[in-house]
Amino acid sequence: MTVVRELLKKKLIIAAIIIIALIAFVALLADIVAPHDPNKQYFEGLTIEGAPLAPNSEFLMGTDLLGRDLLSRIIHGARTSLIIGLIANGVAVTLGAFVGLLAGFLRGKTGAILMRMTDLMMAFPALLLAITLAAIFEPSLIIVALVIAMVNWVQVARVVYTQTVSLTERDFIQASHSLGATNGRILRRHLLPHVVPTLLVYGTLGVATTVLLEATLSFLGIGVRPPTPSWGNIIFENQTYFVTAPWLVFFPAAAILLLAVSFNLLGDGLRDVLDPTQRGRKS
Amino acid sequence: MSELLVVRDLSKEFTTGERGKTLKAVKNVNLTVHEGRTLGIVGESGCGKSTLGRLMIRLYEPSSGSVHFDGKDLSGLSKKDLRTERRHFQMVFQDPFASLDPRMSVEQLVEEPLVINKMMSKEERARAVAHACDRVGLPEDALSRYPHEFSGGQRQRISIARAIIMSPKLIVADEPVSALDVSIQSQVLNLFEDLKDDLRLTYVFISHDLAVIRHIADDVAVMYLGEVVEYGTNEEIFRSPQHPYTKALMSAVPEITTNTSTQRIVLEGDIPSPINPPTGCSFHTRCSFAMDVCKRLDPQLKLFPPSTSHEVACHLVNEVTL
Repeated sequence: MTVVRELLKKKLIIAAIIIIALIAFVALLADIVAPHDPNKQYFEGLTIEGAPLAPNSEFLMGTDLLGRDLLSRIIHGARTSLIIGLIANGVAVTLGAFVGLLAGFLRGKTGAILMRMTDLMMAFPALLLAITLAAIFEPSLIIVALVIAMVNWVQVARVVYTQTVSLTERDFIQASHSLGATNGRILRRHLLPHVVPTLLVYGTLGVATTVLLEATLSFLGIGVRPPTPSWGNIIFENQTYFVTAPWLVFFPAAAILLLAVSFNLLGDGLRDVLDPTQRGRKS
Repeated sequence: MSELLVVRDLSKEFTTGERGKTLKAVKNVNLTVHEGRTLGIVGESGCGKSTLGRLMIRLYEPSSGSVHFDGKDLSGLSKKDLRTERRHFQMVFQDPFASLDPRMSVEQLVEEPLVINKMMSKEERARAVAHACDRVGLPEDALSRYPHEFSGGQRQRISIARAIIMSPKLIVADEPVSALDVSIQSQVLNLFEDLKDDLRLTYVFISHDLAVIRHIADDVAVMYLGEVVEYGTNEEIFRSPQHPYTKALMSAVPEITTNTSTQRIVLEGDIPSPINPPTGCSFHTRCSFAMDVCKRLDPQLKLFPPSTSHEVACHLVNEVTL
């Protein structure tokens, strides 16, 4: 509970939490909040020449190439992007932490096998792996998230492994051994808390890249199926019209930026609060 | 006086990066720690004294030899039995900045041994923690604070509280005061002495500082390059050191009362590499009395009569008066 109280002391973090909560709220109630049907192509949504409309009183963020309301699409896209961001990052960080900690702590044969597996995954082109996995499984939101996680966990595992190896040589780990602590306890109580800051940084930094990776997959036809909107695929659909209709790229990009910055702020805040040597310091 | 810890022919080799080469950190050490006494282990840095300390409580696996604690062969125990047995011997590490998990509060740190061994109820543990902290002289408000908020001396007190909370029989203290200021050193040393009497502890006290060893140890083992070169009671070692290495160490200690002008023995060169130790007596490369036999034969620890405890490993001791 002290963690929550400490977190709420920082204005920036409160702002970040509010923004994330707002995005989550909007995503959850997209059907009610959105002013228009996200997939409906409005006749009045295009100019006589067939060009998309700039933001106006009817379509607050303008319309896209097919005359669909951009605001409604972004609101519905929040659902996709948030789910992808959370699940894909959560799974990637959890898996990476598990493999990295275990390999770094046990070392020897088990550690070597685990890390060579990680290297193998790392050497494999990420996009090719994603395409292969997506081709094997029927594409759905969860599958796309898992595919992204499969691509992303290796970096986490590498970093956590290195950190764990150096931690296990530290005296306080030796001290726990000398007290008769079991391996499980040392992993849980002494090693995990020390890699949590790294995990937080990775987990929160990953949000933006994950959302964009999803867009890449969508672009290649293996991500979320159109017309379902996601922030990434709105950008990808419209990027060629950036000069003539900049709002089509600006608004979804701003949404991604907002989400990513909020998560980063929250992650930074959590990291500081969880570290006793930083607690109580002004930042 | 019963034997609490018996070390027999203990050796530890570390593999080095280079294939086929090993670092012999500890070589054929035989030592006995008697209950209620303090064994001081002294030597230059790199002589293997810390490795020996860690071997004694089986933080390291010995390459050969045995460690018997309270009659039990520690290498014969299963992993689980060894973990349970560990409550009887604790360690205080050299660097209090490194040996306490920075993410745990003092209360969690001191309580940890009890939690690990699943001892006592929560309330009893809290009481035991408060008592242990009080016993080592930590302020009452220390419990909820974190290690980084304390000075080095206070941190070492936290380590000591952690070590005594299980009421162990033996504490291995590896250079417990060398990271501290001189003024704090004596306070912590006094704490060690008080605790020894109150809790009937036995210590293995590792230090490079002869003054510290002279102050606290009942028996002294002098180590050089992984070997014990001289062993005896405090008085025997400090009054009449026999090994040329011990003599050199003693002469390096600055004395305030110098009415007898002692000749300083200055050792030439560095301690040889334990990866490539010299043949014969490991000290012969720096010994000004070295003879031919020293280069060929490794001297064994031999009783130095008329004493029944004083042992020296030197070819010269009975032949030359130094």
